[in-house]
Amino acid sequence: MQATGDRSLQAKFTISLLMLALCLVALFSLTIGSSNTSLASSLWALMQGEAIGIQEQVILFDIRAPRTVMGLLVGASLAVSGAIMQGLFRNPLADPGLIGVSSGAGLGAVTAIVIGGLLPISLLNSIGGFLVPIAAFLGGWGCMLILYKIATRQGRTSVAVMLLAGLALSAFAAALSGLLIYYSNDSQLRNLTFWNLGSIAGASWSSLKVAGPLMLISLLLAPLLASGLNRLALGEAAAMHLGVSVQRLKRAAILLVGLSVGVAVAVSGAIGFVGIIVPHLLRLVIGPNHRYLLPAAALLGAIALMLADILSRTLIAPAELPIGIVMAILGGPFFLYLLLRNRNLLDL
Amino acid sequence: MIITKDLSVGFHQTEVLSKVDFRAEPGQLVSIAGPNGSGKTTLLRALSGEIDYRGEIHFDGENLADLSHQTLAKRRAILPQATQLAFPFTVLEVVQMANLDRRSERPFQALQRVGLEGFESRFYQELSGGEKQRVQLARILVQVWQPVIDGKANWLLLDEPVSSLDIGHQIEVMQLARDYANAGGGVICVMHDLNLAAMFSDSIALFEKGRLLIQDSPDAVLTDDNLSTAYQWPVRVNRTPSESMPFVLPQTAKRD
Repeated sequence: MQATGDRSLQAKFTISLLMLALCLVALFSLTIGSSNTSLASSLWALMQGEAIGIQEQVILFDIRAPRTVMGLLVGASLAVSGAIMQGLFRNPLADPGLIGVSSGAGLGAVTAIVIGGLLPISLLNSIGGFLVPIAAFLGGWGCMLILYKIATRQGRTSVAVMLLAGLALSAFAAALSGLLIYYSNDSQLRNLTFWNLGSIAGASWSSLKVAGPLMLISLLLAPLLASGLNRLALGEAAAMHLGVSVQRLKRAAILLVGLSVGVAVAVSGAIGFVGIIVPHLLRLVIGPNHRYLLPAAALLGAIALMLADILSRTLIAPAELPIGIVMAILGGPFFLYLLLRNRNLLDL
Repeated sequence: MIITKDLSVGFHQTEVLSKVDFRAEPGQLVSIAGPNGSGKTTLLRALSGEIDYRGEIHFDGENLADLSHQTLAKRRAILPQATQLAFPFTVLEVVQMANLDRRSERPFQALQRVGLEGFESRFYQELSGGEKQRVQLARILVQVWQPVIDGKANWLLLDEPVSSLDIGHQIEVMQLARDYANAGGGVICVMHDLNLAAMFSDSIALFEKGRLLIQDSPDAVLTDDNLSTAYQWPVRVNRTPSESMPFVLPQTAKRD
């Protein structure tokens, strides 16, 4: 199949393998954790149609299941968003953070944690524990819209302006966050630190009910961008000559990534590396064709995040490590290894 | 037929093209010639619907501005001077991007047409400049494979298609463009090499400082006066003894 330069069979085979792996890892994630009850046998019993204890039921359905689904969706969203951003910026090192979502979300979270207490009690009661994720989502989305407005003149969005203005805006948001952190007390500081390290431990069906559909919709819409992103690799003009409405493509990509990363960051905090490492690894295996790269990235991103989450809750059980730390400890060296091994491909 | 009337293009208050009346007919190969910065590429970009312009461009009787990207993509293909590819696609994958009709055999046929059969699985970024240019030519051939569909001509717009090629491949590529025109398609071609332009064109449009100096047959355009005016350098037009084809030589610099 390689002989003709057509890597689609290879890609389809890889995607099938990833689907299989995803199912296995999801089962793994349901049954492994700090609880010492034998959940594997409970799950088996359940599949046989037998009844299981109330404790196993609660752990399986109310703790592990939403956490597994959340990990799956967050991982898939971050990896697909990374692949889309890299296609849009025509650069394998682009990251969803480039459109300001992450820094805006960070500022939103800090604001909620430090001065959220000043909100009227009635409002606080009605949104309950969702104050931080809601603020993070609004912050990320707001920052992205500002950036998009800045970079768009006469109906044309300049990715170069977006990149540079994004740096400036991120630095500004970080400075505002720093200012708030300066005035925070010790317990707020602790909350902030843990938000920044990332975690999906708090996943529940109620948070999933809001965040899940939003991430799912963006994941399902992402493949529509594939052929446009492929042609964009030839440059904006050549893509336009091939019939791509480049401005519409840019707008769709930015909104889609803003939505899915905004939600993902809101529910899980700052989890890095998935968005860069997963698409990069897949490009080495199946090539850069977005038709296959996007679905494969969704699958591998989900697998990577669920694995990192399994590690984060088993390594120092019964305590938990923040998933962001696990991801960075594994992801950093692995990314370096990939870079050094495939140096020649980077120089192409 | 592609016709422009009073076509002007300006970037940042600088007029790059002014009041150009240009025409190209199906079945013909029209060359655009002139010195650097005379507006050749700008004309091609305006004709491809890529930049804003004043005046009129008629594309087969329709106003160019009224046609969508998708419609235009099926009617004309553009070969840029150079293409920077962002990711390591294979040659086949690059050509495949233009396969709007999804005919699986087309990319292979097109690569064969430009003499690159066997290159399908090579990485585009590993190729030489000339090979890359021919891959891009194969890509645009796939985009508008048939010169004529339902009695309407398709168009190839080529921006210096032979600039990075050796003599043999120059002739091959120009012959390919000529064949496309002979089969009823239209070809518009920015050319630096006046001799190749003379050899293959039905008409040459000579530009100077954003103005169209003259558009006519090669014999009428390639005169000592026209060329010396356009290029601001004494140029002598001679004729080959056997076929009486015009060929152009600049007066050499004095070396004493």
